[in-house]
Amino acid sequence: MDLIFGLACDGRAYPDFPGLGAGVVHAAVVGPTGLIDVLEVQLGLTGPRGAEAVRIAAYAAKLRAALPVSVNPFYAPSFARDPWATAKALLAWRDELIAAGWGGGEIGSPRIDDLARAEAQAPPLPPGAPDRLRAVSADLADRPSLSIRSITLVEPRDLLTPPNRRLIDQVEACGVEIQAASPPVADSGNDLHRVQAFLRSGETEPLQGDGAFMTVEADTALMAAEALAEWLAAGSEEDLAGTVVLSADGDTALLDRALQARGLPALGQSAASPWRGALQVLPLAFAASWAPFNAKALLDLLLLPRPPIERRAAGKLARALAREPGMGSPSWTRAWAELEANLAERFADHPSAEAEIAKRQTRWREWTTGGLYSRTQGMPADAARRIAARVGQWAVETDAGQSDPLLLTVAGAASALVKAIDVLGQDPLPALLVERMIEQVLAEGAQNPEHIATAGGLRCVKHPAAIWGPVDRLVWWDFKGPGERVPTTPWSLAEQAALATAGCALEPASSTASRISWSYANAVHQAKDRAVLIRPALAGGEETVSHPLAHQLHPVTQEAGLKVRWSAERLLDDAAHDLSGRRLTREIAAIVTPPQARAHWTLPATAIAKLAGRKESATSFERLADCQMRWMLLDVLRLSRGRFAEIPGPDQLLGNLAHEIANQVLRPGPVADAEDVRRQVDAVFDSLLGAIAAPLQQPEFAGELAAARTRVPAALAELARLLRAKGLEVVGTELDREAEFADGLSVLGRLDLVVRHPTEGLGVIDLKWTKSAKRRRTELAEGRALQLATYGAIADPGAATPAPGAYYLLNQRRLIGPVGAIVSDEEVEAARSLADTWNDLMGTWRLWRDLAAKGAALGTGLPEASDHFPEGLGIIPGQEPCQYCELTSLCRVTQEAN
Amino acid sequence: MTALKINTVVASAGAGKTTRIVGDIAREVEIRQPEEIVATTFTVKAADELIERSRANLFKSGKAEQAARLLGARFGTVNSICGQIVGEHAIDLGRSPRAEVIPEDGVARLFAIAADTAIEMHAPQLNALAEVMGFFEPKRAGDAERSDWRTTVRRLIELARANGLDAAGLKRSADRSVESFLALLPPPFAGRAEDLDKVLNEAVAGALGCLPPELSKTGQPSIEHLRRIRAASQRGERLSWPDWARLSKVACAKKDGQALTDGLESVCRAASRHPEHPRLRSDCEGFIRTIFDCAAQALDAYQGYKSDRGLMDFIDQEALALDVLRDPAMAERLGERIGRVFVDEFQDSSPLQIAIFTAMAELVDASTWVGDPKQAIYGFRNADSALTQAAFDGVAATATEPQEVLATSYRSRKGIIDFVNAAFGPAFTAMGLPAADHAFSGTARTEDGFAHAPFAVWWLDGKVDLQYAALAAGIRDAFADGADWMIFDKEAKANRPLRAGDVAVLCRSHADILRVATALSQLGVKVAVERDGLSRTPHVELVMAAFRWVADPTDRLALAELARFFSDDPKSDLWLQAVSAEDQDAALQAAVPISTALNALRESVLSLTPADLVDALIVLPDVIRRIETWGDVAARLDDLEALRGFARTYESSCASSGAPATPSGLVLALATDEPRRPKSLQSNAVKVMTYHGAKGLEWPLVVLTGLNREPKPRLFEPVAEADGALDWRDPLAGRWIRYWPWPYASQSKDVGLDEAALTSPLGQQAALRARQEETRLLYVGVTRARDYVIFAPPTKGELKWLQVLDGDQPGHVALPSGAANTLVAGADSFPARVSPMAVDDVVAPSVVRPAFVRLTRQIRDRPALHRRPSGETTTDPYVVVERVQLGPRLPFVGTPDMLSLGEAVHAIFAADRADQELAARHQRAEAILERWGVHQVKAQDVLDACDRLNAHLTGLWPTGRLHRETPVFARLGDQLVSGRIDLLAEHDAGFAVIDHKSFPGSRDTWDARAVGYGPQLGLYAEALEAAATRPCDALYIHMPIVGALLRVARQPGGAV
Ligand code: SF4
Repeated sequence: MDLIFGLACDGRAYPDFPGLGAGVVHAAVVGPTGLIDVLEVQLGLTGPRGAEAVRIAAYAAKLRAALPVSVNPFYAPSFARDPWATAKALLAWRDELIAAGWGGGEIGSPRIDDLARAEAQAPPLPPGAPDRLRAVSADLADRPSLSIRSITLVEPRDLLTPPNRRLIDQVEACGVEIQAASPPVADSGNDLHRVQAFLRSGETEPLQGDGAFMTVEADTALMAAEALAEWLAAGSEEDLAGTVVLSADGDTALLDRALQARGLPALGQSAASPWRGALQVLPLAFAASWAPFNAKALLDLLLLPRPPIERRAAGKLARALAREPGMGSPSWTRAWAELEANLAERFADHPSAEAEIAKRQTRWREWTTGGLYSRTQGMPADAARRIAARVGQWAVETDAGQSDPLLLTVAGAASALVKAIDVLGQDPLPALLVERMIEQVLAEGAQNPEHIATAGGLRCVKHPAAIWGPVDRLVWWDFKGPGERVPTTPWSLAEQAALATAGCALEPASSTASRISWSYANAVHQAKDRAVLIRPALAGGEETVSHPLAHQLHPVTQEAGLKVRWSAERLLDDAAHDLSGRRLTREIAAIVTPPQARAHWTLPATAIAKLAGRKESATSFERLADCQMRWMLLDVLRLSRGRFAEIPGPDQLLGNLAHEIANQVLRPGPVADAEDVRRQVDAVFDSLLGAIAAPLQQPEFAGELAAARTRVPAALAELARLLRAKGLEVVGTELDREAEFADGLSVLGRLDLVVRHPTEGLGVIDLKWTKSAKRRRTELAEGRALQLATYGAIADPGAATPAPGAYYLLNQRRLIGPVGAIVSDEEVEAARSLADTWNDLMGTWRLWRDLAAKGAALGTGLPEASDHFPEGLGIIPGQEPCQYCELTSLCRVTQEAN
Repeated sequence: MTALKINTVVASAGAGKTTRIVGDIAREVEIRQPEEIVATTFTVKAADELIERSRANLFKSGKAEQAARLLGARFGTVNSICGQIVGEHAIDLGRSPRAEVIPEDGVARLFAIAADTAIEMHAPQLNALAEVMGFFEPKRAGDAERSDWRTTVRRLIELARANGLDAAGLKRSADRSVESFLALLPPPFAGRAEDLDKVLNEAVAGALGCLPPELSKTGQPSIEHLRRIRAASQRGERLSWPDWARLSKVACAKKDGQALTDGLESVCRAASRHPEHPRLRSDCEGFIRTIFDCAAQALDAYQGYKSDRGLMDFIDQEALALDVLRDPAMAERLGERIGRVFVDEFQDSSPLQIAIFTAMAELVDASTWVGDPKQAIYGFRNADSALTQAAFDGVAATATEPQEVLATSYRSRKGIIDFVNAAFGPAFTAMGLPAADHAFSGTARTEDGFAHAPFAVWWLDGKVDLQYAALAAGIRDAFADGADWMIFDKEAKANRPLRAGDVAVLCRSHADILRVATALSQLGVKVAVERDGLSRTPHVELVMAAFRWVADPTDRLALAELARFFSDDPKSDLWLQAVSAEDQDAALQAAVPISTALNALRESVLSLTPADLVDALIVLPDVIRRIETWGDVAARLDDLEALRGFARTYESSCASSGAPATPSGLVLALATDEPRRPKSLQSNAVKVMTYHGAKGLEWPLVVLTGLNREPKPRLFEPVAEADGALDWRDPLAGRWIRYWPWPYASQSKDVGLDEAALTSPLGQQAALRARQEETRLLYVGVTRARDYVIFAPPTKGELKWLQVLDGDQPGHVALPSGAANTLVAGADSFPARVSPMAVDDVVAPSVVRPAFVRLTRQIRDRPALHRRPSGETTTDPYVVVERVQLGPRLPFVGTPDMLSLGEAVHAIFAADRADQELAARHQRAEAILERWGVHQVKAQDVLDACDRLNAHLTGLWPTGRLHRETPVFARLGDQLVSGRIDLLAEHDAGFAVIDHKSFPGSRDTWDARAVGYGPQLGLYAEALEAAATRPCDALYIHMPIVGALLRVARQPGGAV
């Protein structure tokens, strides 16, 4: 067998394989891992491979075991804080030492001896790359015969890393011929060759601007992709062969989409990312298992395109959760009841109905209402294993034998997590540790399985040293800094000396730097016809820095200036461009104006039809009075904003919570004494908090929650005091009322609090949680308290006049209402009584509805809307209705200029 | 005190300090390991420029090896270098070794999580006090200083860390703050506090008792206010301090009657005693102490939280780096690696940074600190100009070599240099920066080819927006007729007319930036500007609407938005028809041309990360084409690039908080974080930025705006103060944090405290600091210009900012107006082009530039590049053409894990050499079985199977050669095949492929299993034929576990 060996040649390298033919047998291009693989197979040293997470877990267990047998080991404080990250970091140190020749024993240097003591502890460490190298190396010492004829080195031999250099020496001793790759033939004639000559000798010859060497600068990665795709598309299919894209960033998803849009092949480099949708199931399942309950995590799980429980059940629970985020809210209970009913119906005729139903329910419950554990104390290892196993099972079931690599990765990650938990041997597991472990198991190899290279001559490599032979056309994609880092060793000079004495020679930084520099120049040297270097100025909004090779080229490129520099944005300004030997043609895009704000809209008949049989509510009236369009879209046409948008924000949650508490403590009949109410509120506060307003328990709302804890009881106690002082009795809370009015107006409402005065009759109190009292006061003063007016009107459908009403502002503990009302404490001089407000509101409703029935809708937030207001509006739309409207993007009312 | 080897270089603006450092570095690499060099700069860009120029310089002078090794040196911002040091010593510091930097946007949330206990504990008290101090009153633009007290806690913590204060230091700061704050108030009322309340209450009641029948407009708000106050007091609520202040200002009209006038006057009288109210003192004291307490507790919690997770913010990086430098063991190890330090922009160092540089100086052979005290402008970001100045002076005093001064400008024309000397000289001298050391000595520029003086004054007339419109028009006209503004092109080394990219407009606030940028864009001028509102641009909204719908198909609003974006008529109502349709969902999808593509994308969403999904949507051909049709494409792409960046930042912030990253999370983050729009980096755009942002940069023409801005001392927000004489060798000594709360909310004038604070000694100091900083900022602004400075003041109002240059002589710098055309600076005058600028009240329709876009090309469906043998399927069925029973089944006891057994047996077959000694073979086989954990099979049995196979194959091809595990590669069409063949027989007529399959099934299932592998082997055969141009005539499946060898062949051709 003949091998080409390069440090960067694991994975994709170029040319595809040795030789010039259409294929080759008994020969391969390998990197360090590939070479070890070959040797292991030949020497019979293969063995099972463990996930890196399991190695780290084992090493963490070793470090822990070594604590009692060491004196103040240097890593102890870090290990106590973050055992996982510490084990991971130290394992990397250990691996580097092993690769460099450390035997694992004490050498009389304190920090290294601490590691040596860990090395000696149980459990065994699953072998990693350096262990495998060590094993191979031990076997090679006997000079076995190898079925390798020759190895050609891509890098100059003295630039190899010490472990690889040693390995090559050993292999040579076994009779394998070691050769140096022949350097690319230096040509002369064009700019590329001039650049190559400069890199070789440092001598500059002015560049001519013949296009053989170009740097393309783009403002953005998007434009850079456009430029490259255009350039490639301007060549023929044959030209694709011999064209290599060097993409050090490792992910070509963006570029590939640009290429595919032009019928070009995709390069197919996908980065391993722990954030792929399917992989999130694992962290989400855990996130939903820590206290305080994380409603959003559960919602995310339920709304996955392929949720872990049946889609319909998931949808129902999601809806309940979005409405009342918490465990055990009324919506949640209702949803479960419905689900159970559905199941009963579905399995009505099933022979083992009970078992079928129970099976499903258990599973649903496991996913949605599993235990909650303290983040600091941790969860029992067993619980963690169960969650991981459940996720693994989900992945396998979802995959359904399709061998989807990503789902298999999830299953693999879940099982690696279980194994790591076993090996780690710690119980319970604090949240930080679990999160670290999850991150680790997810980080391994989760590429996008759908993102692959497609057929054609175009090739892509990740590293400049992965190019080991001539390339016709080199495209250096993402030619930006900082490039490969020269690592700094953690070891002091004394430690390095001790290591060296013990036969462990670490590579000096200067060698690393030389190798890196060599690799950059290598890519350019391998180019035969032309090289194009593409640099975006912004990558993801951040300014990029220049590539180290750009520093080196600076003397020639600076001098040549615009002759070798081309701006990708020029593509936008002209129909034809010449870039690096190709003509790129473009066409002008006809200008279309982006959607514009418009006040007056014509409603189709289908919309008008939906006006029939409507029931209005206090909220819909408020929307209607402010903006007819908003009412039309949200209330009449029911344009949904989606589940996530439905989760109430902290203020609204506080309001909901206060309402529900009031509902529970203000029972019908005479009002309890203030202190009594306060006690009752305290008694129900926490359970209701967890049931309907769980997001408030998240740490970032500590301040708000602390405020609510004192304010809600005080507010309701004060309300009780006020009601008693006024001689009012509670008729009921959360009362549903419905009433019919003239012109087919039908109104539905849920009244927060209805009270009765022995002589004056009913009164309505609306509870509000707001930051400032101003808005509600102004409403009352201006006669725009639409909610109060509505509630008053429907409180007692039998009554001739609407019931008086007041707002109780919980946060401010103020009961504000119109002058003279039985429910008012702080009296506001109103420009319009509630009864008149109601009348005007009905009139306003009629006008807007009639307008809609005639087919017109007005977005009143837009300046020209007022020209179209119907005559005689009792309630004029507010000043800036769009300020709190969720439809601004649709209406295009706030639009940034370009 | 050991003499440190530090030399300082004072480099005036544009005096070539980078060239100077580059030169030094070239010398340094000759005498030391290049990796030992440390160079800190102020920005990433500056660091990039420095390393690029340094390395280029070395390459140019043939020092390629040193240049390569410079990659291992430490070039970067102070933060990045400190972060690196901390990362290297994380375990020594006892921290988590993760050493991750918290993204700027994530700090607030992280703090809230970490400090929740402290917040929760102090919240009741702080909330109560904050309430009476009016913190929760709606905020107006004018009192932006007042913030959520949690933000103040965070700022206190930040300052504490930046100034090396621990919990005890915070306690001391609380004492000092209380003491200095109370000193601002008049002596407290001697009587009982309740008496003051009572008098006021009575006055309020009294005034309300004498209301006239009809109240005047003037009286209304006052009475309204009184009513509210009375109601509150009847409820037993406390009156807030802003309300006290408001009551001290109530009034009515004459026609409201004498009684009310008198009544209100007594209210005013009673209320204006608030400064001496004992409760004001106790409230403020309580607030100060509690907030410092809270900060102290939160500080510990926050630090602990970050330390557990290995998270750092910018200050942590520095504070921890200082810990490293101050620890003998760690410092020694670090000292082995760094030998030479360069500090750029030293004048903007914080005390903590000075401590770091000083400690580094003790560790290394030599340090060079380069800076310009005249350009210290980062006081608000913890920099301490007094201290840096003291350090400069201190070093100069002890150094053996004289301090170097770079005073020749390589940037600005002579007129500018002379003006700067004349205008700033007195102010700088007063600051302790004497002209002898700090004035420009001259310029290296020539006046060749310039017809005009370097100055112009553009007086901007009209309302604010019109002023900016006028300015924009002025700029457009300037480069439209660039010949009137000839500039010197550095790259071409020649004069040429002005272009858009040569112009920078400097602004004082983000609001101004936005105004300038909008005005310029309106005129169709490209601008490079960073501004707010990324998520409100139509292109980002379009992409995010698509994103939302992919993430949540119940979001029909998103669909409706898409329907709007995709209609060609900007006012089309097709979307409304769809929303109104019977089947809304279907109709909306029909109205959105990309709905099918989005549905398809949703199918693959499990394979994408949130950021991937953003990318996928942006480059969806229909999406990008739609955006292109809106014109001005480059600017839109900049925004989309920022959106991509935001998505990635979101993902990494999830990593540091351990949270999952989901599409819904990204949508939420975008809504809460409100990311900014990036500035374009294109060379042909006008740059618009803040004066601070212009630091270190230069342009041919610079427009200075905001000249009417008044210097404002920072009085009622936390600031670091220092006691006693400054000792730069001990920069953190005597430091404390002053925090004076403002208890009057939006009542900012005439409350007593405002004046008292300003005239207090600390207030005076703060005012002086503010004036000095403004002076330096103006200096930075003027010295950005290479060829022209344009002053763009408003016609109305005083130019307060220029007054900072006055010294004891008002009007030191005067801008010409009217017919005059000389700019005056003290005794000197400079010619200037003066023009009034005004535009009419008409908003011109904005100019849209169409774009050239890619031609539509046929999309080709290409198969995968790599054909994987294991994934090979074919429609041609394979058949078994020959069966050989090589021997018995492999005997095993118990039930081995079949997967491991297969691997182990395969490994033995691969490694076994029949020509070796049996003992060695046996030992190796044993070891393999052991490694795979297979104990149920005997090594010898496997070896026997090997021998049987060998014997059989040798029988088949006596002269052939067997290759184990041999690689094969081939290009088949435009696809690639690669693989490793278990056993390849090379014989006279060609090849045979033998594949081991660890199949344990019963005899009747062998055939089916074997033909299943046919396609895989067939592909090998194809590859071999392509590679070796010899036929591959036989395909075998070897089943070692059952002892069988089966030959398969493709059916249509019969036996191959
Ligand atoms: S954005 Fe404004 S105009 Fe549009 S519906 Fe909402 S309130 Fe009405």
